[in-house]
Amino acid sequence: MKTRFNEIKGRPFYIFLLVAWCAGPLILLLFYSLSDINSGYIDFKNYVNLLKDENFRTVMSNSLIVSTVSTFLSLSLATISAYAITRKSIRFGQAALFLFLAISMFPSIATLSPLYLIFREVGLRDTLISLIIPYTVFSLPIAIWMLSGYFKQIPKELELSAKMDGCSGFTIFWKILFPLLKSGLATTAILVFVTNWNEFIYAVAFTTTNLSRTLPIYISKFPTATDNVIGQLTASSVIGAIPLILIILFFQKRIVAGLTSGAVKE
Amino acid sequence: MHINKPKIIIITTVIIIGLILTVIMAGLFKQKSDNIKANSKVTTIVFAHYELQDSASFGNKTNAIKELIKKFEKIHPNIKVKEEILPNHSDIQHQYYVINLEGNTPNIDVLSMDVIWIKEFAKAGWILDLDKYIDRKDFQDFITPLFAGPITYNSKIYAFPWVLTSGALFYRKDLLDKYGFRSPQSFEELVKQSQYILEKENNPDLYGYLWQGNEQEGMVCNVLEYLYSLNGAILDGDKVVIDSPQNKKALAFLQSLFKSGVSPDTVKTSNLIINRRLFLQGHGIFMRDWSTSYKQITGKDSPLYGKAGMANMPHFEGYQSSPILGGHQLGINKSSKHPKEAYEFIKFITSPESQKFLAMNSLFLPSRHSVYKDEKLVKVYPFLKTYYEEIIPTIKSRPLDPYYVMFSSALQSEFSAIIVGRQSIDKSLKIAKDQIEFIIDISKEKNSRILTKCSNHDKKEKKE
Amino acid sequence: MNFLKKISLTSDEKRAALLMAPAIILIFFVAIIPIINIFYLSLFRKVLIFDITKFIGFDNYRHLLVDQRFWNSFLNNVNYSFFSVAIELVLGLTIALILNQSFKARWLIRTAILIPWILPTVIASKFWNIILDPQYGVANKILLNLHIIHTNINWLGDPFWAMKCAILVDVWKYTPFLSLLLLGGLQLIPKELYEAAILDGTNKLQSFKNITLPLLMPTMLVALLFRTMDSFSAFSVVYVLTNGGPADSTELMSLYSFKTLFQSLQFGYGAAISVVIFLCVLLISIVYLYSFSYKTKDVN
Repeated sequence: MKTRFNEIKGRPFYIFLLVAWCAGPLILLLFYSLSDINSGYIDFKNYVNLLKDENFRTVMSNSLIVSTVSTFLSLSLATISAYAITRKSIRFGQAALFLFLAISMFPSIATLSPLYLIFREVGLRDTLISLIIPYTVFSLPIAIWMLSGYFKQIPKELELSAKMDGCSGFTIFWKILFPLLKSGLATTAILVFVTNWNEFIYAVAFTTTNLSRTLPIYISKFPTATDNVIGQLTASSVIGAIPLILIILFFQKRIVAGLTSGAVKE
Repeated sequence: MHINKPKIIIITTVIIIGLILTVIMAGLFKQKSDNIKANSKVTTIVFAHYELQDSASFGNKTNAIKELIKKFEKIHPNIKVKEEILPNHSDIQHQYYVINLEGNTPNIDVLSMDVIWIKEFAKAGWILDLDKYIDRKDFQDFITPLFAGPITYNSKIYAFPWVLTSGALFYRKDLLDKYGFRSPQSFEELVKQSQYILEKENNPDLYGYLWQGNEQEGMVCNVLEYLYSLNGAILDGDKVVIDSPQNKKALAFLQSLFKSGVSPDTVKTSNLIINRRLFLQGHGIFMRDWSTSYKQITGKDSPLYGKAGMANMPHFEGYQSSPILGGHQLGINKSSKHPKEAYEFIKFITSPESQKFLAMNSLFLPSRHSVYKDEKLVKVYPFLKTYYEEIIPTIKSRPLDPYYVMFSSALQSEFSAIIVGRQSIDKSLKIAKDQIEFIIDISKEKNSRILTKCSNHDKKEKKE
Repeated sequence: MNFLKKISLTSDEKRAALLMAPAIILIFFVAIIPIINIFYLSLFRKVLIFDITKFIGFDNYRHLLVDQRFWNSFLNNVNYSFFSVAIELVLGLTIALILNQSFKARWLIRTAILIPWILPTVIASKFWNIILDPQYGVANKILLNLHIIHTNINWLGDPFWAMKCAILVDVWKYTPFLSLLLLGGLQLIPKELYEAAILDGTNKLQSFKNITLPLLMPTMLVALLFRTMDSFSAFSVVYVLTNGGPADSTELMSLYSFKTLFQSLQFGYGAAISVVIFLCVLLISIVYLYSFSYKTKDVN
């Protein structure tokens, strides 16, 4: 009865279209990066050349360092803050949460120039730190927001009973809350990591040499669609997409849950 | 069971990422320790420039600049030269320099600059005044009438001329011969020839005239060649004269190229790379490019070997050809820690011997009189003689002003709007005029006395 | 004194404040101060290249009013935001309705749908750049073979098409995200409501209008809020795809601001444009939040 009501004609076809539309580009990228224009055979030389290229290796490691460090920092700070907001009885908790959410909505371009001037003044321009700082801070609000949601799901009684048993604040957090929070932390970490891995505007403004460039900047510097760079361009795009695709393959349920929870609940 | 599987996956991904990281880090550290070792003995200077040769045409040959650097390091064992290669796109290079120099980076020592930036960088105090280094006698060998304007600021020299290039017209010799044409002297002739050949050939993949319409500095150069040919101008002293009738006429001619089908719509956004690709594959009869592309387009490795030629830019009937000066000149970063070593390198790489070597082995065009007169070189590349005698005297500079890049940004928008037909010529030129006047207002804000002095100076140079 | 006592913190609050201090300090210095600073900066004529810094009051804003290029970018932005968000909403809703059912290959579909969302905008834009290349792009080849077009179209070079292509990339990138949000909302609607509707003899369209839409409204508004705000400060798609060209026909406000800031280092004027973007985003969020509270009251 239920299914018949929602039945839409030709659904498999639509779904096929949808999958092709979404995944097609990635497959084409893979195809371009593996095909040799001259011989037409499958060829890994684009990848080999890229991995041999010192600049590309630096850029790749920059991206990995910046995204992991900022994700780690942001998550640690956010966990403590979310704990404070939800676990302590404070008066302006909800207001603070909304304030955080509002900050996360700031357009990057609005904070770009003042931050640039500050970093330039203290000599941090064109360093990885100049990216780690804004990445950490601008992912903080959303991380706090999400983690607060997960904290709220954990019943307060657990904590109280542990307190009765004489556990210290830290032990309570580490032994009781943390295990329950693991999946929430993972979801938040994934979303924050993906955002930082893909971030473009701060990176393009603050980095000027390969010492601090991240992968999106490296890719954006390719001239468009010339025969001799198209292989490298697509190969580096595929390499840049690999961590993300792995994330989708292993954590898709979590991502969907994380993405929808914020919007649907509030 | 349900918990185990993801756990394994997580652990393996973490391990993989960790492995990648360690490999990369190991590579980085090795590189760094190499640098430190090197630093203890010799000074390393960084030479920022764009790639002189296009891999497409010189792919198998040795890289001429790298060869020269090796030679230099042999002569000066205590100096090591590291290259920082910039993308071949004027605006991107400019942005790179501006941000780095403004941040007082010591990580660039020698920088190759487009002719239009030198005054700007000098005014900003980012590059060294080279007056005390210069050997006046040797300096006369540089083609001074061309470079005196761009490389000086307040009567002081800030850069050494290095690569010379100018706008040039490339044409399909075989096609012109087939229909009994000579290379066009005027734009009107070019249009007639294109229309005739296009009609006779009746090939939908053949286009008449390719030029750069993409919104960037190169397009401004293209457009200025038409304005200048009709004796138009952007500035007359401090007065903005961009909305003159000559300019309007020249721009209307550009628009008409699309209407008459001489230029394809691709041109509205095409850049050098796209045009060259089309032309080399035989899709164009005429192409406006830089003279430095000569060997790439007509050389032995080119698919058009023997079929293509280069001529001076055409002019409007009854007027003069006005190819625009391009090319890169070498200066020293003021925050450089090794200005002396940097100067040694500049002296070496702009010397007649080095210029000859570059002219032989790359797309380089020399900036010295003596190199053009070198018999050996001219024997190998006879076009250098005609280029020196016929084209170089007609070359014109873009407006010489420290604020040129800001003007150009306004010009790029408005010229582009005209080319794609998004705005009327009158309206675009009015907006451009307003914008440039606004920038001139800014420029008067500070150091106004110096600036008026400098613009008088510019005027004199223009007259020369 | 009384007032101070009232706001004096409880011990729990003190501890919470201590725990939150690092995050709050960081946010204060890296987010709040710059936002205040940018308003201040916009009152200056500041050109870094020539070391010009001069207080000029509201002159930058006065120039904004007559700056054709700014108004062009503003209108482009309105155009871009309106069409991309509208198309994304309609498509997203359609996809969500199609997917709102148990079916096979859920894993595959979810993977596919997440790809556009997770790929960096830069890669997506570069990819479309390759596809839309006038000579070598697949788009022209396919359309030529299907006889839909007869000559190559210069997608990104023609001002008529360039903006539409930019919108297309935006739609490709964000529709799946939107459909996921809406799907989440749909799944919250109790199935019993539909069953009851069938018993009442209402048809599909009516039940969509009477049940699905009103109950989905809060989710839809939140999704719209996110997307509109995002698209008003959109940058990377156009930066990579066209860099604002041809003839500034795809130049959005962020891009104009960025170019002013980092190409000619006019920090004062660039800041003024950034302030306008910030105020636009703020205005949009206020409008949405207002209608949001209004709608929820209505439903209740």
